Amino acid sequence: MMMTAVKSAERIRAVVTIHKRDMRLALFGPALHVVTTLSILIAVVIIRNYLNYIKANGIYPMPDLFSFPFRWAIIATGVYLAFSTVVTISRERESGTMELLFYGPVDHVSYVFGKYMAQVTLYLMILALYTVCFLTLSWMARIQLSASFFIMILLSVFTGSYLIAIGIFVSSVSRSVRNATLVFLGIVMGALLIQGIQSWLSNIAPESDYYNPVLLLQQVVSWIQVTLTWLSPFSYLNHGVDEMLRGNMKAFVGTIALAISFCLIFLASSVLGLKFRGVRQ
Amino acid sequence: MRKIIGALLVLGICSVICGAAVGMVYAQSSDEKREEFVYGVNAFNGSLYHGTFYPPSVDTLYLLADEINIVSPRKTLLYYWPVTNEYKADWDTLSENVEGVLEIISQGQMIASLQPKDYVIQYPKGITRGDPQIFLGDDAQTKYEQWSDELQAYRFAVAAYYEASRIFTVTLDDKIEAGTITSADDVLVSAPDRPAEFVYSSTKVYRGMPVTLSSGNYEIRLRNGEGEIVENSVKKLVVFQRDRVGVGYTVIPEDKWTTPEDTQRPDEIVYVRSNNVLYLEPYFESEYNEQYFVHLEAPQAPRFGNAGWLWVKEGKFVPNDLQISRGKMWLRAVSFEDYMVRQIPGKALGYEILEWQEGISQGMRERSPDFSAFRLVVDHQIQDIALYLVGDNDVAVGGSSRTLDAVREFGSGELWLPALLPVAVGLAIVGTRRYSLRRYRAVITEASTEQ
Amino acid sequence: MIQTRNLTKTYPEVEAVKDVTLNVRKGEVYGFLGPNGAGKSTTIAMLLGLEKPTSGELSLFGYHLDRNYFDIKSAIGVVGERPFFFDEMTAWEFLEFHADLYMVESKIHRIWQLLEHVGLSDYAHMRPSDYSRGMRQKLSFVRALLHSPDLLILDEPVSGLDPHGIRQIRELIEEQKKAGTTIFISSHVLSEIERTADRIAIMHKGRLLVEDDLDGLRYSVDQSTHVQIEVTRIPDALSDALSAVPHVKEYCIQGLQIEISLDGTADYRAEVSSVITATGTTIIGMQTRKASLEETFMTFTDENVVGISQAGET
Repeated sequence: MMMTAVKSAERIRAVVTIHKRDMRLALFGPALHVVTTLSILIAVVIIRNYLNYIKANGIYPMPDLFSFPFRWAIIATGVYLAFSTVVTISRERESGTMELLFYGPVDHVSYVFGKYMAQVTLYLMILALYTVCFLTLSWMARIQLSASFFIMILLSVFTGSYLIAIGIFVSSVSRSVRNATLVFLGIVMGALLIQGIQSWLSNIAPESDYYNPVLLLQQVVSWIQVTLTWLSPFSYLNHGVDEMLRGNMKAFVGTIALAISFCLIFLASSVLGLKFRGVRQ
Repeated sequence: MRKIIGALLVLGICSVICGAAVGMVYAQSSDEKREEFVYGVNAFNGSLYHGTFYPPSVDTLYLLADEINIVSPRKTLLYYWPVTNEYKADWDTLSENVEGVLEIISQGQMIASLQPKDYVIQYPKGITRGDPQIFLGDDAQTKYEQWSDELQAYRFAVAAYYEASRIFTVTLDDKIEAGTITSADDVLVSAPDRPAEFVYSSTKVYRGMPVTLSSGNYEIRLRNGEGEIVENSVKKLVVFQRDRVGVGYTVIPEDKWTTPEDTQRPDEIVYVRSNNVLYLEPYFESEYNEQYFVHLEAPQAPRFGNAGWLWVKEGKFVPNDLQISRGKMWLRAVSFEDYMVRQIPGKALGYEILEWQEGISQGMRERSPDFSAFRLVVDHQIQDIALYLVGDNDVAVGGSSRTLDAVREFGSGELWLPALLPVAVGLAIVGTRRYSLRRYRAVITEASTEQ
Repeated sequence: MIQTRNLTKTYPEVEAVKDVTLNVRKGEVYGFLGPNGAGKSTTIAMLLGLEKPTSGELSLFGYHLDRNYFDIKSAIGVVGERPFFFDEMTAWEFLEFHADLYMVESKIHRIWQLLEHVGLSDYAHMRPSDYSRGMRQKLSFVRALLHSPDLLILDEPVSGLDPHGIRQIRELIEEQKKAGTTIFISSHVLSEIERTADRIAIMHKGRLLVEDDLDGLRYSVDQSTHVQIEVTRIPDALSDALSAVPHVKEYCIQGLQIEISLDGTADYRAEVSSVITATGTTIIGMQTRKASLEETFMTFTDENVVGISQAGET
């Protein structure tokens, strides 16, 4: 038990040290700030469009004027952080700095969790920044932020963390920066494409007299779509927000629980993936 | 090895896509009509009976729980209509009942065996007002005959009216010509009254199986007289119920009454422009599983992956006053009134909305209200206002509350200011870092030069 | 300090390390040699836990790495074959990061002390990417020494350095050796190993051929003692006299220099000197030359020398 406690303490120390380093490196680079600025700018464009519509038409009923712009901003930021994790870990392996870390008291678990905690902390900091921006927008437009908005912030912590865990997993099992980037972009584009393909295929009325490959393709795409719905952090965010707005707190808590579960699964898989792929070039 | 797998994968995907394309082209180019077994369904959708059919390509029926729905096994000619990507039925050429018993199976056990019955669907208040009534068996015939008699009586009344109007007009013309017209001949008083519009609507008497089930998943099949299952008659049946009930509003801005907006979700906020007048028309609504409801009304509609929930209008009603509050502070109540829209004379093409009063005429007829609603004046003080209805027991009607928020006017550049915050934070952090690095380097260079 | 038994690492297409049994003692400098592709880096990777052995046993400080991972890693300092740094960090930040990782006490003082010692204190707030090769190597050393490790593993520590840099690194190694640190060096620069190592192991094609001190290695390759004698004149009887000496394996006369290979089992130089002076000449100088490490290494790794290789296996 003593040995386990010592091991945990060492691990925590490694996690904290890696976490601090990664945060500093991310904050000192311009990319993160460019992404946050662009995200807020696009959110403002969306809000302006809404307000212009209200001005022109007099009314606009919707769940929350700030909900979609905020969702856009946090999804864009979450995707960026996940992507930057994908690139960072692969690059560390390629450049040898991962090997350097493993010379010391760093194991696979502490490495993965250190990286994860750094990105999640950055995400929380950005979330706080966005909250301030939206509070300012709310004050300027004289529109109250609803309780559901703040609940969405809470939900986005879990879905954002889940997205980051996926990024870590992709990077841990990829051979190189190029492979990791292609796989991550492939996953994101594939998820979007599947929806489009399903929509296209659904418009084909299938024959029933004889076997038709369209039926098989429809079924396969449908299964993939259902799987993606279960796995995609974006669908968790949308689903969670919808259930919260419907007042179905049980489903809302269930969404959070599932997001946490999948996050842990991906993190555990990342540790295994890292062990399998190795830390050397 | 990886290259081989990759190549096989690409080949597989291309084959399937080509097959899909061929199938799509074939399906779209085939215009032949085929005799097929279908289920004709009159499904209750919460407010009306919606008639549709399920071709063999659709494997699942959708019906509302605890309502009488009619399922009619029929034979017809089916053809593919590429314009709307669906199969159409040529009922005019072939519409034949398929005799048999409809079996309903739940969890492997047969729970019902339904015989076909006569049925008729009627709308005593008119089809647009909902509230249908369905009659089965002998009642169907009786009710249909009753409707036929009333329709006939109306036709006679209309004919009598036209005749009376003709006589009145001729008489009036004669009196005018003769110069003998008196105040007793006032058109508005002495002209014959047109019979009230006949809104009572009815279908013919048809034959089908009435299906009333509680929510769940079932299977149906038709067994013919020989005891065999009719081909293409086995289908899944999803019976679903409404999830929530509530009150929706049609919100009509005074300056754009022809383009109202609907607010159906109770969690919605109605954002409004300041200095405006709104009219709110309430109606009952229910929430359903979107996938199920869409396919109840359109069986051949494409399936969608991320189905959510759908609010469906179900009928208007006359409510109590609309309550307005902010937080826990009650502000006032607004009464439900009738309104009419009056065109402003002249070439401006404007209109005004006025409170309807009895006795106002338009042409030869008395003017009836154009709509009934709550009138709400929106000024700049309207912020985070809650609207809700109360029932007769003074309890808020569930699902009737909405938040109203007036948006203020602002300058074109103001809203961009918050976007400067991330810029400022970024510049501060990155700038400080770069400055400190440069400063150290300068110090070192200076020290080296001195040495 | 480090013990392996039949350590093996097999990849799908190659057997990188086969049945390597080595023993590094506490406080010694252990040279680990081998040509390119011999399996040195793979062996080091297994020692550090970066690669999992296919079979065999491995222990550091008497403990299994998996069971005492953090304790063992905290006591090891590593200078890798290539110096790796985090591009966006200055040297100071880089060292501070590692000091935090190893929980170095009084880290500021320790970092400053080491930087001054290697002459990098003026460049602490520059990025390592702006450093020269030698400076980067020294910085790697500083990083490895921050936590005063009990075991230093150095993989090609002087590779790519100029003579001045090599000397600085050698001094650092000798300092650590005096401090009692066990040092495991893998290197191609045989002259440096020859100067610093207490014991040497030679790897070839994944196998450990030999593990011994330098004299032992030389002896196993060449049991002769080579003597170089300078005389005043070469008498005619000299050749016959030398041929008659039973312990003279071979000799070569070049001008006034006589190169003699003597039986190395005992010291026969006095006997040979007597024989030479008896021919009427005078010895004005005598040097004994031992086989260099390079010669020893080349002999061991020469594919034609099958017997020695086989001896190494047993």
